[in-house]
Amino acid sequence: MVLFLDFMIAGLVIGGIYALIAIGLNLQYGVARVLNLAYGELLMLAGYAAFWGFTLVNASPFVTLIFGVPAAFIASWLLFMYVLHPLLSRTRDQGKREIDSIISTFGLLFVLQGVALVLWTGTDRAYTYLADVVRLGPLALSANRIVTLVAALALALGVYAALRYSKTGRALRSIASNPEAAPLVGVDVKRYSALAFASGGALAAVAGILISMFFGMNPTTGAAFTMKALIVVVMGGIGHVMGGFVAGIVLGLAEQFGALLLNSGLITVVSFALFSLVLLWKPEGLFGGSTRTGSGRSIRIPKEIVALIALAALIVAPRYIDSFRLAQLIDIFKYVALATGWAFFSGPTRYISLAASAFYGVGNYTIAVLAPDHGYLYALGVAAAIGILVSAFVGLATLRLKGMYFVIFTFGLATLVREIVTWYEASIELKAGRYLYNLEVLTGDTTLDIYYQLLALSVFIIALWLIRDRTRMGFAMKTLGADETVARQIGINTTRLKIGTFVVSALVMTLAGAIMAPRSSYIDPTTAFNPTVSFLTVIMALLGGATSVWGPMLGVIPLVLIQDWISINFPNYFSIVLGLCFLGIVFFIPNGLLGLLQDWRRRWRARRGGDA
Amino acid sequence: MSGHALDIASVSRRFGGLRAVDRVSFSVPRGEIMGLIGPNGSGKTTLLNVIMGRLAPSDGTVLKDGKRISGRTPEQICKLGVASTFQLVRVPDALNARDNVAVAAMYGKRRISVSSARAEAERLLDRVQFEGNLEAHADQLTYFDQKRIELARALACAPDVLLLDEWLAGLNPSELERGIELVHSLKSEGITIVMVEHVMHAIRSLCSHVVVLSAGKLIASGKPDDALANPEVIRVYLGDDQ
Repeated sequence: MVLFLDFMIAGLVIGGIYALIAIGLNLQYGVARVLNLAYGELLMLAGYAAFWGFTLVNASPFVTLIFGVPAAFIASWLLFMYVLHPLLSRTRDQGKREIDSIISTFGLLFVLQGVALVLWTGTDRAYTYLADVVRLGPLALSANRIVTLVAALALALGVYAALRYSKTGRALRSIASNPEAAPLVGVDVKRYSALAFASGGALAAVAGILISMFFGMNPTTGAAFTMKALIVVVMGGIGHVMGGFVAGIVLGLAEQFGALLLNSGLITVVSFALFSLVLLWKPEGLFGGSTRTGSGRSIRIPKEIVALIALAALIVAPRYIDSFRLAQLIDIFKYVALATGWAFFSGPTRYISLAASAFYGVGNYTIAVLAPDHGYLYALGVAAAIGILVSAFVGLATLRLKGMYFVIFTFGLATLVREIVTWYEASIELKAGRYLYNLEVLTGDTTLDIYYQLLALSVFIIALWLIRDRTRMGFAMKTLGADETVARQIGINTTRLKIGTFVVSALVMTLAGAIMAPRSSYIDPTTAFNPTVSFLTVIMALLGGATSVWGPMLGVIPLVLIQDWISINFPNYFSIVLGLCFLGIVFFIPNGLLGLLQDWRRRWRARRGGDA
Repeated sequence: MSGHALDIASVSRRFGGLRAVDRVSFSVPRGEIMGLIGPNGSGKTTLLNVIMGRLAPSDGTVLKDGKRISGRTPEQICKLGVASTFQLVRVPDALNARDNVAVAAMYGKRRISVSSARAEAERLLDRVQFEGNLEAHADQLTYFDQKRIELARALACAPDVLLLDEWLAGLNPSELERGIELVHSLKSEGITIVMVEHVMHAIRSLCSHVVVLSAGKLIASGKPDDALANPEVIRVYLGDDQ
């Protein structure tokens, strides 16, 4: 009984925090229309501030609260006014705005994580404050948890009341329900959006400082909390503050009891299971509508002849280059397969998948586990089967719904799979990570074999894309990407089309991971499911242009070379520089390199036409 | 089988507490043009959305040729031979004029190859007197041509029931006459048509029957002249102080 109560209180404490950050994220997404994937990074920075304040100058976290919360408010306000708002007001196309906000804040996430890693290393930073045990009847609780619970609940209810009953709250709600109509009744949308975004940031800072009293901070803490906040927001309904509040508490309790009844390594699995259940059984109750507008006109340049000549050159190339260049070519085709595979689905549909590393890791790990005992081909088959099953499940749970659910789900998928594998190794195989020094010998794979397999995989997905462009499926994809309502009205089964394409895309990414496995001599869940793979895949496809078959390849080559250059010259700043690249691409090359080339060509033709 | 192409049986659709469509029943005789009229906000477009499967009815059923179609998805309903145009023109920019129609011919009720679908699209665009460039995208075309693409795309699904949601709205007087002729010629091909329209002149010259909705309820039905002379209809259109 006491154990039960202990877990319930623990669930309420963490649930209160989830409720608080879900309300903050709701303000940012519901009112300011920015899906902020770097939301948790502010929580992480605030937690670090409390840690350093306490450790260096012995300042109580409550002092940090007094200085930190206004600072977070101002920083978020500036971020919205000078970065996000100018970026998002470039286009009226809601789909494009969503993609831009997701990509730019995803880039920001890597920058802030990188900064934290460079400044404070990867160690957990924890301190002891108000840890005295208070007795409440049969229960023994640390004071800091009680303070956190009370403060989180009070603040969450306070924000709810402010939104419900104040004049400002009414203005915010009017923007949330209809941003086009709000200015007609005199609401200054930009000002109030900035206010909502900044308030959301301030709530994240409060949450970070509160939990730092009993929860160690490290550079990846933020992303985990962003994920939880997103799950809570979706479960509670976007824009519904009370729903988010209740869902936050429910998630906190479910996690704690999941840990009690199953295994504490499975907390993420529990929250994802809950999330999937909500999406599968009650999606329309959360928030409706699925109209997506916009024009992603894709272009086709007849380059097949050039491609065949290039392919012949690539087949004979290994005879004439040294092992360093061959390694570089392997890296290039690893990413050609990944980025083209990614864009095969995400380009035309504009559903941004952040899960490349989940599939890559599944392939990688399956080979590492199965190939030594069962042979390479058997392991390859199993990897493909797992990739297909996982992607079909993700597709079924999310692709019938609005794109946002899909983005959120894929954002956490790599973490989810990584934690399942970690749990499996720790509790069933009783080890962590494995050495693969003999895998090349076992599988008989040489570097050259790996190169040819990756080349074949790349050719496979490109050929499939070219075939698709010439059959009715290509037309269906274009209609679907532009206007799903129209597509369904003319008889296109869009759900089947999306899930099928997503499975093919995931299969290619899984196989890329599988083929690459013998290249590593040691593998553990952290290296196999490295989020940088997702990040690079998306950035390369978008840099080249994700709506046409040759675009992703165009983005891969410069970025692999830049990546080599960064990791040689600035090894410690890798994720910061890459994050900045991401932001730069969203800002300066919104339509990809291929789009840029076409713009130039059009302008050049126009000028020539003008002279004649 | 009854002589009805479409039966609307006590269909309701609620949005929260609002009854946008409230227990509406009527039948559309096969091969006829039925007018669906009523003031703004009376539930006409909601009813079309229910018939097309974009919205599920809260109550009631929709039958086509005596078979239930309510509860099915839009793509299934399309394959059962019901097609529609959109109230606001929705012609994706990702494809040119011809391919926007062709893609409906490739899917729709039939399953034909890319090249024959393109030929079919050219035939249908010609059928609706499309005047623009077949390779042009929507933003380079006149409003009337965009509307013609909408119509040709609906026809490319090979429907036997066609729903027109204010397809004639926004046309100038000479375009309107050509539009009316065009709709009339579709009837002679045997297509059953339900048209939501505010242009009374078009209703009178095209429709054999009309139903009048007001605040979600069916308030009158019958021949256009009779229904429009109904005192209740005059009251909802012109106000109480008549």
